[in-house]
Amino acid sequence: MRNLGPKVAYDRQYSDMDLIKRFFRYLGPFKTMLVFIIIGIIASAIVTIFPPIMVQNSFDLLEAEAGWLAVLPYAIGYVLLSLFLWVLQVVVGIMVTIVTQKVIKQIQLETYISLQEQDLMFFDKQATGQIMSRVTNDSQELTDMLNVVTQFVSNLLVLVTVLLWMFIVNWRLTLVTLIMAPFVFLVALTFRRITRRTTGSWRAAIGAVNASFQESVSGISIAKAFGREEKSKEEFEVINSDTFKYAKKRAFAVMGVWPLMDGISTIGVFGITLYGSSLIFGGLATASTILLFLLLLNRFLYPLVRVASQFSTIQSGFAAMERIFSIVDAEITVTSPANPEIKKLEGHISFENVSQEYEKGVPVLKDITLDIKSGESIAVVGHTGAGKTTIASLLMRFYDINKGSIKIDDVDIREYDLHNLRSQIGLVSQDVFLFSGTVLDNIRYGHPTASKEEVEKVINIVAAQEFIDALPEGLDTELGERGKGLSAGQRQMISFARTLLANPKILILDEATAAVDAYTEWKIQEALDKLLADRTSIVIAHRLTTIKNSDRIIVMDQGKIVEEGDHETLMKRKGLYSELYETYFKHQSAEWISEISEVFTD
Amino acid sequence: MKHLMKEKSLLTILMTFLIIFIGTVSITPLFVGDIFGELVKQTGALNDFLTSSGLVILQLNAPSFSGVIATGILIAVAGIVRAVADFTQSYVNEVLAHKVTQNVTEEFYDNMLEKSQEFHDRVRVGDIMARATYDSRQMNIFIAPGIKFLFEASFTLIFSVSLMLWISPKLTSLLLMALPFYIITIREYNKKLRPISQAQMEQNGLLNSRLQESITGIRVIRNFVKEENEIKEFDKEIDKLREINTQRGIISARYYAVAITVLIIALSFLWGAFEVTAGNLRLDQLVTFVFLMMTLMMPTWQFGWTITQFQVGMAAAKRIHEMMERKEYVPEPTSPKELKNIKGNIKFDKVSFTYNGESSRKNSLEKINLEIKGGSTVAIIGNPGSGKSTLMKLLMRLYDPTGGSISIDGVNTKDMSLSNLREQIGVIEQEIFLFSKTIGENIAYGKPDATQKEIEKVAKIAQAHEFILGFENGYEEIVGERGVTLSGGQKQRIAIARALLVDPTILILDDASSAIDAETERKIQTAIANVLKNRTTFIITHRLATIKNADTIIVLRNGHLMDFGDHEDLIQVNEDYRNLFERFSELPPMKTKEGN
Repeated sequence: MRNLGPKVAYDRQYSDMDLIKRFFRYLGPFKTMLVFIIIGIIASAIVTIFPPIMVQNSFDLLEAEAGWLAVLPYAIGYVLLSLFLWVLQVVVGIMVTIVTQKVIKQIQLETYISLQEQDLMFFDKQATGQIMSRVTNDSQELTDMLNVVTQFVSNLLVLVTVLLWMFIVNWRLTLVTLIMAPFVFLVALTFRRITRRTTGSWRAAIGAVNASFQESVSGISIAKAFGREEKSKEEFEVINSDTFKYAKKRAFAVMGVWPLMDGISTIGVFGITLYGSSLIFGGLATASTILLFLLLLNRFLYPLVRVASQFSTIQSGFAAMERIFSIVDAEITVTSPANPEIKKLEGHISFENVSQEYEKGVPVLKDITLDIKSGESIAVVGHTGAGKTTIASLLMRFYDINKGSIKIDDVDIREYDLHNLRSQIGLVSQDVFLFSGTVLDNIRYGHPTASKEEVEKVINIVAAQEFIDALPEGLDTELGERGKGLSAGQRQMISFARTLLANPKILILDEATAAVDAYTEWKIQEALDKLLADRTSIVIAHRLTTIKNSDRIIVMDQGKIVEEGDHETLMKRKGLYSELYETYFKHQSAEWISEISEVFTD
Repeated sequence: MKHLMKEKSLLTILMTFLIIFIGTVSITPLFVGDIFGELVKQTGALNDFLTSSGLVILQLNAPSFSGVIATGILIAVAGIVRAVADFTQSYVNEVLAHKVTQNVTEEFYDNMLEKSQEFHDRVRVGDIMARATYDSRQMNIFIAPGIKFLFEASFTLIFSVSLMLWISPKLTSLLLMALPFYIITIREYNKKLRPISQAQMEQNGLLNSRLQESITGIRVIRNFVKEENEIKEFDKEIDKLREINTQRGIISARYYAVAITVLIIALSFLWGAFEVTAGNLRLDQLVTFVFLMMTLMMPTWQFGWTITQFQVGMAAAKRIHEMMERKEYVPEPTSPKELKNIKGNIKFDKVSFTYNGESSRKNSLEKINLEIKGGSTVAIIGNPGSGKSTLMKLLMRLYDPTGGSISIDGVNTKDMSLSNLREQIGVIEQEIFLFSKTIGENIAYGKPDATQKEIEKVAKIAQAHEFILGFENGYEEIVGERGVTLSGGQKQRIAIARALLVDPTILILDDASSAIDAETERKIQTAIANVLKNRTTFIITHRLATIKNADTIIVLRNGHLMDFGDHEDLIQVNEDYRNLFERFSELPPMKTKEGN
């Protein structure tokens, strides 16, 4: 899976105990399976010891010249036991897979659900890649951890068993052998730490390669237009070989650990042999004991190293868990109330002393009071940053206001069921987002059961019939990511149709047709007049014609409403509107066209 | 494979150390046996133990205590040599894998850049990225422990089997009879695994794009109150993935050729016991044989793993290659004509274009004939989807026309090298794509060696200098998620500067944004008017002033050239065009045009 963006360091919010407890809740539904798994692990650990003993006994029999028939039961027993062991391992393996996959799925789903419920502020603050990495990378790390936990347990089990056995056989030699343990553990931990660091920089380098690759592909037409392909290739080569460099460093650490352990274990063999020999000569041990120790040495070291490295995998699993939970637990402020109002809206909107700031100390709206009657059409104009779009966002309850209240049909919007509220407000914004899928899927996004006639009707309203017909498969044309393959104007027309099809009572057009050509826009405007008749509409406008068609014009400046009225009245006032007219709208009028022409005819 | 073979020196090192490693691994038990040879004889009880461990093969003469020390040192030396060899071969194997991955990624990248625009219009970025990341990683994994495993397993196998043959050909042949069963098991396993791995990769990709979409499109989802629906869909998709993963896990868990192995060992042992009873085989030989059989476990596991990963790796390689091998390039001429100091006379001769070249689909452009004099300004207008942008992309040869030809100064664009052609053309796209680099670097994109002075000069012409200085880091400000967010108008001005810096003879301005205030617009218009001189400029625009003042106006409708002329001509003959202006001013009455 892709590695997206650097991981954000979080302060520790949860103790390990919290995390474990919480995690066990996910395991709750699988109690019976878990019991089986645990029994299975213990059973297979025990059963593993038997086959060698059986082999040993049968050889004893053969040595005593008991004949091959005497060995037959052992052979059969061996087969049966091994088969049993195999079945046990398969069953445990399958159960672990099933449980792990279900748990991971559950966690992913919960993360996703919480994303869907998260305040928009959350998305404003974090890059897409970062959020995605919570659902993809972190849950992957969690899966790794889960897979490791069972191994960890059985390794620990083996370690304890082997150690016990060794103590029983010869405690002196065991103590000598144990001297190695802290070194081995330390080396393993250190290596693991180095591995983690080098893996970190390697991952970051891969991230850079991916980002660069993705950007190059997304901006391919620019690269082609500027003939920059060669240069891009060179740049990529540099980033790409960086990855190689880090990969080498990492490989050095990762590959180093086992041979090093091998070396240590050789010293161990050496030590045990020497000390053991002296013990033999002193009569404190037999040769077979030493041989046993030599054979057990690796069974002791291997799990020890494993346990050390698995320990840190588990740690990073915990970290991932923490990151995931911090999203799931993030406080959501914009929610439906306990007893929500659910009703059909009439469309009477009133803003009462509304103030809003997204960042402390940076007010976006200041004390806005505005009453829009049901069925009224108002135009909102103002400079960039005047707070026009904020009005739309607040009405949709994308954010909650800091001060004042917004009411629809005399009920505060915070008292409505969130879904009930939003589903009756349609927002067409300048920045269009289309989903992958067909044109039809996109238009029907808000009303999946719409009939062909209904769809055709809205397509006609937004004057999109012509271009849709010209698409290779008409309405059934598959759109690429974010509507790739369509022009900005075409995408706006589809998004417009999408909103109209959902048939909202309140319609907000936020520069909805900015990228549509003037002629098409004019046609849309004509059709829209009829459509807006029984709806309340707020039009954030950039075109003169749209403004002139509205019932009332609201002029905003620096988060305040400074003027309101119709075009003529406002022009007479010679205030901000007439100024805005001079700045924004005049250049759509005929006089300006001749005026600016001088620039060209010099 | 081809890539692998390129790294001959690395492969040689890898092989050498592999052999040393395996050699030392094989001889160590000899030394251990050496030490205990004598002690073994003394303690009868030890025999039991040795039987189970198989060390009986090494019954050698027992030395004294000093001999023990000497052999101990030998063991230590052998151990160190082994450790070093092991490390070297593993490390070199990793390096090899990463080297190959690096080369493949690079080749893939280069290839993607060379692919035609049509290819990129159709193929999702996510799809390309999945191959560049996940698939290349799978190849990497196959090479990294894969090759090592393969050789280790082969050597161990050869070593053990020859020893076994030497001890008892009869028993060995019995064992070898099991081989076909074993191979069948592995093949069955892989047959099951392959489609599942494929499905897993695809589902992963799907899930990723779905996730990304629902994050970037969160506002739309909220707006249409589709959260429940999105969650349901996502649930369905991850459940599919879970299903696939579980299936894969179950297949892997079930596979342990253990069942067969155990049977064979037991059978061989029984047979061996029979032989011993019959006096055809010594007991210690049987012990050795059983011990050797056990050493076969690891290589068989390694073989199994390698073959599986080989399948996955090959599937991944296939996916990468399949994409690279799609022949979707705009062809370069074999002996290109080099144009210099062009005038910018452009001729479209019966130019037709269909996306993907499929005749069943509707034409995007149909038989466009146009002749444009060098240095003139051409405004292109038309409804969305009428082919305005396509016409320009044909000029740049982002696509090739499916019919007709385009020439510059009388030279067919197909006869020019792509770089020569595109050098002449500057473009300001409708949707401005800026790279997540600094503003300065973005402006200098087409001319990376430009001086700060040059950059500032064009930024001033494009009216961007002022607002750039308004940023905290000025020209060093980074664009995009990590840096500053630019408005549409600001992006456009940076793009204008970017295009101007390369000083092209032909300029294409695909102007969609209309949300610029009049003052800025006046500035931009002034700037453009300044740079228009001595350039052939195409402007796709909604700005009436720009349209009116163009030397030539092209009216497109659904891929057809409707009308062609200057403002005065068009208000007379083209109704749509007339409508556009009539809303703002009184125009003289229209001429009736024949056949229109």
